[in-house]
Amino acid sequence: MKIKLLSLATLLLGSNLALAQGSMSFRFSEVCLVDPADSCKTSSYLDEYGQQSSWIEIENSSYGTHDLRGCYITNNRKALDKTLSVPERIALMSPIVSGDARTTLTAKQRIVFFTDGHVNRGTLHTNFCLDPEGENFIALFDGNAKTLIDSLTIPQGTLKSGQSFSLVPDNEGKMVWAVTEPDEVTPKAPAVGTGHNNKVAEWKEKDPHGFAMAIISMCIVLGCLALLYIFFHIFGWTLNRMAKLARVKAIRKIHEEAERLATMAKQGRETQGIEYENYVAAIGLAMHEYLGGTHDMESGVLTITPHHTSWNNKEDEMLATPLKQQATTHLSNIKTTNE
Amino acid sequence: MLESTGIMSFIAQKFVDFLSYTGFANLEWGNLIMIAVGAFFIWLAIKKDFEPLLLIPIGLGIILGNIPFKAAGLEIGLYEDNAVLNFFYQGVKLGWYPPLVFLGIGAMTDFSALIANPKLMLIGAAAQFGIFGAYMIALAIGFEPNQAAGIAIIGGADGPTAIFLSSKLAPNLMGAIAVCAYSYMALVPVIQPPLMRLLTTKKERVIKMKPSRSVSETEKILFPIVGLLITTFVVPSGLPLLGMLFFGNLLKESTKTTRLAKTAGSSLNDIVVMLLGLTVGCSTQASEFLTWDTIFIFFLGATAFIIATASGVCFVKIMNLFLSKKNKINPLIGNAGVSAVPMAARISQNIGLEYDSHNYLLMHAMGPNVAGVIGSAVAAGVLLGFLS
Repeated sequence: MKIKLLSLATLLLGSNLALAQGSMSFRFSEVCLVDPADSCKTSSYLDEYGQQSSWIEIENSSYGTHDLRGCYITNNRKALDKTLSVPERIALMSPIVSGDARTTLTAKQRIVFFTDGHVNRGTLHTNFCLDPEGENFIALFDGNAKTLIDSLTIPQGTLKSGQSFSLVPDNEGKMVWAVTEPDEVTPKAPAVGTGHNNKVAEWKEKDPHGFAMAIISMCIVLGCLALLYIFFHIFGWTLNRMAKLARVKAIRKIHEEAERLATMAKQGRETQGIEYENYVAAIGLAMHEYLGGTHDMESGVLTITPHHTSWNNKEDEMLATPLKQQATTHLSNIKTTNE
Repeated sequence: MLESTGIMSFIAQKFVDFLSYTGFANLEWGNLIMIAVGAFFIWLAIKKDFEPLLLIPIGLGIILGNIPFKAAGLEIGLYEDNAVLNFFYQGVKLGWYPPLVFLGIGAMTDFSALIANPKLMLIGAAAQFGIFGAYMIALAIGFEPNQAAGIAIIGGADGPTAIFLSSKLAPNLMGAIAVCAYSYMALVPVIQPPLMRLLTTKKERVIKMKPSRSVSETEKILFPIVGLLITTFVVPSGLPLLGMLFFGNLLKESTKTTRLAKTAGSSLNDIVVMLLGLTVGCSTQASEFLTWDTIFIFFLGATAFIIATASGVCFVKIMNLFLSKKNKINPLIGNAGVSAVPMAARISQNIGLEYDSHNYLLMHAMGPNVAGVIGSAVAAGVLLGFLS
């Protein structure tokens, strides 16, 4: 029963983790604020209707394909209030409707939602607008409208119209939020200079002859197999040592037994009733069987304990009535002595 | 009447149409050359007994892939969507045939020789220098780092690993790399012996190695688990290959899943090898294959093999400098560090017997040979991690 419960709990935990892993891999990756009143066309990214508006980019940060459908985006802080019921929460959010293939994001893919307040324009439009001049809060909630996946606050005055707030790697490679100029805004694409082909380019630039690659890789391969070597060398040595110790222990036990038997033999020699030669022969036979491996599994126990039977009972060996001839002879001997 | 209805001209037009679809109408010189190459592979396999299990599917695949046809959306070519061959090709393209082959290898391989004498693992590692030596030469020739890595892995003498890595790093060169890798694996008996003789003295060739100790069940079961943990913790990018290799071996050694191990090592492995060989052969279409790059790849493949063999043999000679007289290793087993299992080990045995008819090296050579399988998978993981 315990095992069944444990298995069930593991399964439930596993399924929960699997669910979480799916939607939790989404995150905001870039936010661009556009002032519709701005006469300068600072952002060249237009929606399907040729209109400019602020937009939010969401990235699938994992290396698997996940669907955003059913999730919610909001710019209302009240949605963080955990006391609200689900319908109350949903009323504060903009749902990402199902049925649009564009919401299925493959590994590292990004999607842009226009925050123009015109949901009638399609799946990629939200029911709220971002304020280009004030503080902006945005949050992404899971399909249950309760689990917060990601949130972001853009302080007032951080961005000018056309600029974006995007996730870029810092010097240590850690992703941080930074302001991006209008000509470096990259909707539906990673920030400039953070593409995936950099590795090859870096190796080509820094290691044109391949020495570094050869040295590092050979060290890793040798190190990996050396670790295996060390483990199995030590393990094999330990096993060998244990086998040797077991042999020494067995030999020591045999010696102890032999000593005990020698003592017994000594005692047996002094004991009347059992002849010394027979005693030694019995011990010899038992030792022979034991060392030759023909003895039974009671290792170390020689089964020659005294065993009384009618064959060796002294009383049984005596006659019930003494022989008459012997008695007469005995009497005549007495008479002769008296005379 | 026939003429009045135009049926004759219709028949003639359709017949001409039909002719335009035949292979004869679409034939190019490249196709003929590749068909001849395919036929040569089949001849090598049947007549010379060079890796028939690999060369027959590849040889026929080359012929199949070079049957000329009109590109009219018939969905028959390897590179055409919805074609049956394209469906089979996904296993190569997406890289799921190689791990399945590794599963079979794991289920068939006995690692006892390696466990009994773990220092032989180092020979398997040293032989991987062939990969990185070829990488440097490929860079010098002018290949990009990712392409150079895909080509250099041929030096591991491991077809599935070569396919796995090249499908990830250099998909456009994969056909040539795969054919090259398998060709050189088949040619191991030709390439390695002269090098082994060149690099060893007669005295070294007759070194008799100490018989290996017996290996306990516990050690055999522990090996795949510990091996998996150590190698994949160090090189997680080698997980698909190493994971399946050790999984197959655990199926074998656990003694509780004999049926699964038997299937993985026989039926499943055979099916995958057939499809893999056929589709790899098919991918060598003349237009893609008959290029200067292919010639360079064949040159680099040979170089990688030579470096790998030489580094394995030389490493044993260096090891012998530090080993006591009774623990000396015969350098003839150094060639087995490349992972052409068990052909490289058989070569060590044969050459050993040539110089001393009582010197049986097969079991000793199996140690570095299976270590080579692990080593080449680790090397592939390292390259994939650095360059993908």
